[in-house]
Amino acid sequence: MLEIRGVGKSFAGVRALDDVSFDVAAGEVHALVGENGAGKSTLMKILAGAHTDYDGELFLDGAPLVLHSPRDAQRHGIAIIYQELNLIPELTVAENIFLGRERRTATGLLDAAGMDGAARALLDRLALPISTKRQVKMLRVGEQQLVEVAKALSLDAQLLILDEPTSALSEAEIRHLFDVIATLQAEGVTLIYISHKFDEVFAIADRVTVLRDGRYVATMPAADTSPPELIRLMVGRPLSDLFPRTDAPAGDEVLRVEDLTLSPSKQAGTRTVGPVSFTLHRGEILGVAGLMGAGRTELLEALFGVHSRRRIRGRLFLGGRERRVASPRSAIAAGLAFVTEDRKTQSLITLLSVRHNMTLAALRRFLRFSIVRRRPEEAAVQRSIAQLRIRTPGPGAQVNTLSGGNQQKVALAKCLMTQPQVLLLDEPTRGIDVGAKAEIYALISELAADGAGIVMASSELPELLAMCDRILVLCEGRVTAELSRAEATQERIMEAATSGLPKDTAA
Amino acid sequence: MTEAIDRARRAGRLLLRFQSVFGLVVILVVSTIVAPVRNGENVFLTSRNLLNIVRFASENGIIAVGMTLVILTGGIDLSVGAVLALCAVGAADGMMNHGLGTVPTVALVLALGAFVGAVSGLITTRLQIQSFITTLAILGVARGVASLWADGYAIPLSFGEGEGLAPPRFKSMFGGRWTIFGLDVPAPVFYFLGVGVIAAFALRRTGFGRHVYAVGGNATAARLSGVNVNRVKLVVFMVSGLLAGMAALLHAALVNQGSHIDGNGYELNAIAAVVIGGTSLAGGVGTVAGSMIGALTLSILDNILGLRNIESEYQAILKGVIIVLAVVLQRVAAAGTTKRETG
Repeated sequence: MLEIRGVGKSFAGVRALDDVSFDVAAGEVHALVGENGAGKSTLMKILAGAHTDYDGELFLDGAPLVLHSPRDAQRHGIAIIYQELNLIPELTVAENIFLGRERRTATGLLDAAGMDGAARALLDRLALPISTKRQVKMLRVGEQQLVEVAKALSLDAQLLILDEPTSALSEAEIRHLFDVIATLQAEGVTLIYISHKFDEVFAIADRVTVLRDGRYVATMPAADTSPPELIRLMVGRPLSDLFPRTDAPAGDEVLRVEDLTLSPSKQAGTRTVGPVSFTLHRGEILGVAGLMGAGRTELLEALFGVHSRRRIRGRLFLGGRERRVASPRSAIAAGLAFVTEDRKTQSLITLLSVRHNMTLAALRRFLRFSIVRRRPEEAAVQRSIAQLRIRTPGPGAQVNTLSGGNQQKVALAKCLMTQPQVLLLDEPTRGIDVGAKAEIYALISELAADGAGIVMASSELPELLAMCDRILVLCEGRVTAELSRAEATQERIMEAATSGLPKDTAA
Repeated sequence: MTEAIDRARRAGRLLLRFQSVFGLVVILVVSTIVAPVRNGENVFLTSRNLLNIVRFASENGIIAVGMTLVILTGGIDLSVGAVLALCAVGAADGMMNHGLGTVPTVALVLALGAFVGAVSGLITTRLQIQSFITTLAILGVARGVASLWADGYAIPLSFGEGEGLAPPRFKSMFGGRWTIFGLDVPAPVFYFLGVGVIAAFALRRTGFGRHVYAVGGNATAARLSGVNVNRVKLVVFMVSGLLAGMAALLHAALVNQGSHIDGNGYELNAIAAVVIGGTSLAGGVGTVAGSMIGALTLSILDNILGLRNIESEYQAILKGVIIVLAVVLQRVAAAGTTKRETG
C-alpha cells in the first residue's frame, strides 16, 4: 500500500534520517521501533505532511505521493496521532474532534447536535464513557489521548499512524485501544504503530521495522522475532539487563508521612486522596500503583506542596524532623525533588537552554551576591550531562531540540542538582524508548544505592515490580494494599487497584 | 559534526538577537539619504541632531526597559504613562508647594512609582487577575489621582532659590547637559544607558534574571522548580513603576511642569519599542538591549519624519507599518533557528 524509497532528511546539517526504504502492506499493523533519535518521529512527520523538504520518494497504492501539508496527507487518507497531544484544552471533546471540519446546518450555523452525536458514536467505539460536552482540560492525560484517537477515526483514515498511543493509558484502556485497532484492521485500515513497548508490538503487530541512528535496519514478521532480538537490532548490542536493580540494605528513615490527605479541588472536580501513611528509608524505592485517576499523581503533588496548603492535612517528617511543606520551594528546601509526569508542561522550560533548565531549581548554589557564578555552574552542568549521558549538541542547546528521552534526563538532572534526600518520580519513563529507559532505571538504582529515598508512581506494572522494594496500591484515592517486593505480583496489584470499584467498571 | 550544528545554531541566534540592530542600521542609512541638506551639511547627521534623537529616545527607552521585564514574565504594564503623570505631578507639587529638595523629591517620586507598580503586582498575583486588566485599571486610577492632586491643572516648575521655587539642581540633574569628550550630552541619555546596562546585567547574570525568563517561559515549571513566581512578578511590576517614575523626573525637567495628562500613550510607545527589539509578547524570550534599540529606532523615525515635515498622521501610519514588519521579520528569523528535531 505504502512504499518508502530512499527517504532521508537533515536538520541543520545533521542526518536525522538516511536512505530509509520499506513497504507497508495494505491492512497490516506495521510496528516501527527504534531508540531515541532513531528517526521514527521524523519519518512519521514526513508521512503526515509536516516535513515537506525530504529526499527520496513515497508511493501510495503505486502512485507517487507528494505531500505539501498535513491537510494534503489527510486528503490522501493518512492520519497521525502524535505522542504530544494536539488538543485545545478550553474546547469540548466534540469541538476538538471536529475542529477545522465543523459540521453546519442548512442555515450555516454549527450543527452542535449532529457533532455531539457523531462524537458520541466515536467515543462509544473507543468505549470511553465521558461526556462529549466536557472541556478537554478537565480530562486526564489518558482520556485526552483517546479523544485524539477518536479525532483520527473521524477522518476515516486509510492509513492511521499512532505515535506511542499508549504511553499514558491504563492497562484496561490499552486493551480497549487494541480492540479498536483490531476492528479497524478488519475494516481494511492500515496502521503504523510506533511504540517502545515490546509486549504491545508483539500483541498487535503483523510486521516490525527497526530503525537505528536514522537508518533502516530490518523488517520482519512479528511472529519470527523476539524481544531480545529487537533490542539487539535497536541498540546494536544485546541489552543484558533492563532493570539493574540490586537489593540494597535499607538505611535510616528518611521520610515519614502520617495521614496525608488532599481534599478535593472545587474547580477541577477531583476526589479526596488519602489518608496515606508510610515510612521511606534511605536506599529504598517505594512504588505507587493504581489505575488512571486513582490519585498517584495527586499523592506526589501533595507531598511536594503543589496544591494550596488549605487542601492538605497530615504530617511530614524528613530525617525525623517534622517539616511543613507549603510550596514546591519549601519542599525543595526540605530535601524533596519531583520529576513530573508531563515534562513539557510541568518540568521543562522548553525555550531555554539545557544549562538554564538544569540549574533552575538549584540556582541558589551558584549565586554569590545574587550573581550567577558561571564557572561552577558550567562545571556542574557538564558533570550532569556526562553522568546522565544526555545527548545534546551542547549545554546551550534549547531543550525542545532534544529527543523525549534526553528531555526526561534533563528534567531528572534538574531535580538532582538540588541534592535531594527524597526523589519523587511520576511516570519516569513515560514516552521514552528502551535504551533511555534502561539508563533511567540504572540511574534510579544508583541514586537509591547512594542513599536517596525514592517514591516512584507508574502505570507500568513491570517497571514497578522490577524496581520497587515496596508498592503502595491506590484505588480511588485510598491505599488498598501495601505489598513487599516478595508479595507483589501483577495480579495482586491489579486486584488491589480495582478492589474498591463496583464490579462492572473494574473490568 | 555537533560542533557544526552548534555553530550554525549560534549564528542563527546571533542573527535573531541582532536583527533589531539591522533594523536600526537600515533606518539610519535611509534617514541619512533622505535627510534635508542645509548649508552643505546633512541636517540628520549633525551631532546636535543625533544627541537629540538619543535624548528623545531616553524617556521611552527607560520605560521600555521596565516594560521588557514585565513582558518577559508574560505580563504587560499599561499603566506606565499614567504612573509617569502621577509621578510628574508629585514631583512638581513636592518641589513647588512643599519646599522639597532634589534628593527627597527623587526618593519620593521613585518610591511612588515603585509603590504603584507594587499595587499592580499584588492585584495581579494575589487576585489572579491578568495584568492587562489590572494595569488598565491602575492607568485610570493613577490619572484620576494625578488630576485630583493638581486640581486638574498642570503644576508649572519655576527654578530658583527660595520659597515657592524648585531647586535648580533638579533641572540640571535631569534636564541639563553634561559635557563628555567635548560633547554636550543631554542628561537623560546617561540615565537611559545606566538603566539599560543595569537591567541587561540583571537579566543575564543574576538569579533574578534567570527567574524572569523561567516564569515567562513556563510559569508552572518555574513554580515546581522552586521559583517564587508571585514574587518575581511583583518585582518586575515594581521595577516598571520605578522606571516610569524615573522617566517622570526627566519629563518634568524637560517640560518644566507636572501634569496629569503627561505621558499619554507612552505605554504603547514602550510596547512598540519592546516588540521592535525582538521580545515575545508571550514571555520568556527577549533582551533589554533589543528594547533600547527599539526605542532608538522609534526616536529616529520621529526625528526624520519631523525633519522632512511629514504630517503626524503619516507618522502614525508609518510607525504602525514598521511595528508589524518588525514582528514578521522576527518570526521569519525564529523559524530559521528553532526548527525542531525529534527522533
